[in-house]
Amino acid sequence: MSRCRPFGRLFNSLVACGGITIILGAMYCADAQSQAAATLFASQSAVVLTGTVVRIRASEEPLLPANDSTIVIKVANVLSGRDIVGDQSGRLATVVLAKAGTVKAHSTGTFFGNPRFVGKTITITDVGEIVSPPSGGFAAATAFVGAVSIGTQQYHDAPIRARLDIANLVFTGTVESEHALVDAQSTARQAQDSNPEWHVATVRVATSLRGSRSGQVIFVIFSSSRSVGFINKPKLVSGESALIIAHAPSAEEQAELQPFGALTIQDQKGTQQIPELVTSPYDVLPPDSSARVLQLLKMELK
Amino acid sequence: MRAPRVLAAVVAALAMFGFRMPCIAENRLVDIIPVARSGETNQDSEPTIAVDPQNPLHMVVSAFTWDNLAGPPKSMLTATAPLYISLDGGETWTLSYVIPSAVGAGYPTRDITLAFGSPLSAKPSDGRTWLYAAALSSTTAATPLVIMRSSNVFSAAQLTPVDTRTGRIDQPHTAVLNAGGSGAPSDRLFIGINNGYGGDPCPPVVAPNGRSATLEVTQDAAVQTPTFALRAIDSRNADCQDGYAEVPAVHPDGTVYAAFFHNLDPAKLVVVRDDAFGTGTQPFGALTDVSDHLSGQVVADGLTLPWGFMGQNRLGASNISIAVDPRDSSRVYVAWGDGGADTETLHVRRSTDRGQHWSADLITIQNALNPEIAIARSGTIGMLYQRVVSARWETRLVFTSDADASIFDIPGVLLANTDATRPLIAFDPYLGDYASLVAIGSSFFGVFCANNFPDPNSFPQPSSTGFPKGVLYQRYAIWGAPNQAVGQAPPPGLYADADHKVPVPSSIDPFFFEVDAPR
Repeated sequence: MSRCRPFGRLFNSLVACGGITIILGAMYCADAQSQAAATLFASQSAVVLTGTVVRIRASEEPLLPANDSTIVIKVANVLSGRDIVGDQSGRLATVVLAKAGTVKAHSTGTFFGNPRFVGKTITITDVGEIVSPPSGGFAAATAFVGAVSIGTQQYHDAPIRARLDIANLVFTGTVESEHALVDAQSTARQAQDSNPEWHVATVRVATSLRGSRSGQVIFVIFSSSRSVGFINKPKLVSGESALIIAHAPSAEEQAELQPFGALTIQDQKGTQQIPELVTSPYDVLPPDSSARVLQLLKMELK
Repeated sequence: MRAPRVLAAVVAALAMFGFRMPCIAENRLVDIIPVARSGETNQDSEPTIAVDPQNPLHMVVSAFTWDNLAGPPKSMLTATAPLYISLDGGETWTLSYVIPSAVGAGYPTRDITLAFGSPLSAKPSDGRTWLYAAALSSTTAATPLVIMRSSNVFSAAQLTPVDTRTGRIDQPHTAVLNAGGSGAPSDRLFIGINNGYGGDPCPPVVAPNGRSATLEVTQDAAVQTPTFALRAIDSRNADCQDGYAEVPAVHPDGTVYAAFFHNLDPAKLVVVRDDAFGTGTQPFGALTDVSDHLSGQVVADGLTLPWGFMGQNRLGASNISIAVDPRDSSRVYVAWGDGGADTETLHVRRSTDRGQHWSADLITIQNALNPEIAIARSGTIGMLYQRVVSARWETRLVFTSDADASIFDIPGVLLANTDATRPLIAFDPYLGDYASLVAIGSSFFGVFCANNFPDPNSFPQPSSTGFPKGVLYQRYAIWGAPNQAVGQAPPPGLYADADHKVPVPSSIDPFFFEVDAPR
């Protein structure tokens, strides 16, 4: 991924903007370019840091010898990824640059990357970096941070979009009941941590975003296991309202469900329904996620 | 970081909890959470350790450590899961994000175990050694077994998959033997797996005749494209499946043992053996039971395996350890846990005739789990275990004290004595289905999990316990008893920052130790 440094390449920016010759226009264009780069980089980065370059060809991490690609920054702010690296403000961090030798000491910038080491200090491997602050004062800075936020949102939306790609039904609804697919006593004695401990929930659709209708009752199978491999899989609770991104059982999942006779489930009218599954942490979201998910569905259609 | 005024209380507490001075020097005990991750609250359970035999200062630890600071309910936020790495003999540790995972995955990996192999180069100055890992991967929904390797885990590169196996696979246990020698096959890799664990409810039986105990074997894991063979090692039909743990132990003379629980209820503890690295026409068929004449000697029969919970840790058919004497492959030790509802009892037995006949219990420890056996160059046996005593988890390391290596110095060195009721469990397993112990030369290296509250009553303190530096914390902590907060600001506990302004709840951390074998 190339590095974007609009202010170091003013001439290139002017050309790229179609020959606008007035300085104001050039600055506007450069800012637009850095904002686009910020969104792109942030959409691929778990961690976004702002900071000042303290040393170039340097490393604070003993496992990472200094080279042309490594710099040490003093972190000013963690724009994204605080839940991964904590508050690193004021601390040193090592950055593995996306492109070697393009950052000068004492320059300030925004560094978009993913965690590589966490020891005495943190190290990130950059997807890209934007050196020099945006011009234009507060408004430009706000726009830049906004551009980072858009990219960060895209990064966090990616796993939801992956679930929407395979979803059969997308709806908000309320869990009316749930129960185990097998008598819990029969499995309690040797609760292998690979056992999903399947449960089935009866969910009434409130609003359909894909594939169902309001008021419809859907059987949704989920794992109730608290083992490490299942703890983050969605657990449905009676009375809970949620946005549900459900998929039809894959061939492998059908094989899993077959011993329980759960390939079809009879509803109250005696009709056999094919149950849906929720298996990813992103398959069940808070009901107020529906606006965001609807937006993602529209983007998917485009 | 430790308040001087607690010293008197420490001494009293040490006496109360039975810390003692072993005949060892320069031992160390370290909470391996790095300082830059001081804000973490993850339940970092089920640890394993690999120590580079070419350079024992180099070591790697795995655990259920998420990329983010909290773990569940957060899913993975990056595409890599971390390993803990030390270059200085375990004194300091760094998280290195080198295990392939997936953004949005519910967990970093499931079960993962590690082993170092051979040096990459004949040049001693090269310093690179193969590392192998077997993990239940989160990269796809099917949670396949992925066997990975790294030519230099201390570099920036991710581990590279060399084999993937899908299906109902559980609990890989990794053992590797560097056969060495110019031109000779090297890095014989043995991975015990529960291959085809039963359906739920069972039947249907998934593995043929329920025989799920299996080894994945390759005679050279270091070549560009290793070839793996599956070896089913249970010769007896099981009702549903075999136990979760299939554990190999390798000797340089070609002897390979593996121990597993045949069947679940009732279970037998079975040991199989191969005398040529598993290359013969009947792999792992060298040991025939003296009673039923089937392959695999039954060490203990009619076992009731533990289930339920003990000290918040879920119990199961997971606790098996086996070790072969590096001086004599005929001498082999096995440890296992059996029990019943909410309780587990550990046993250790020994064979001196290549697994054919076994002693009675050399040790029996009640309310305990995670037995891990290793044998030092001198023949001293070490066993790590964790037991619940008065609602506290005691973690101990016990050694044999006689020339015949049959008498254990029970209860052993106390490594930790922590509250078993806090923190509350985040997911199963609370501490792990296993801990880890390896012997290199005369030293025992291990890793276990415990409540990380910096209470001096919970860990050995300097000078008086054989640990000259006491327990080392890299993460920010103020030492003191949990209820010592009155009048002290900031109170004892963990902190996210050096200024001790941002408190952090206690959690389960991995603790590394190195202890020299008693002389």
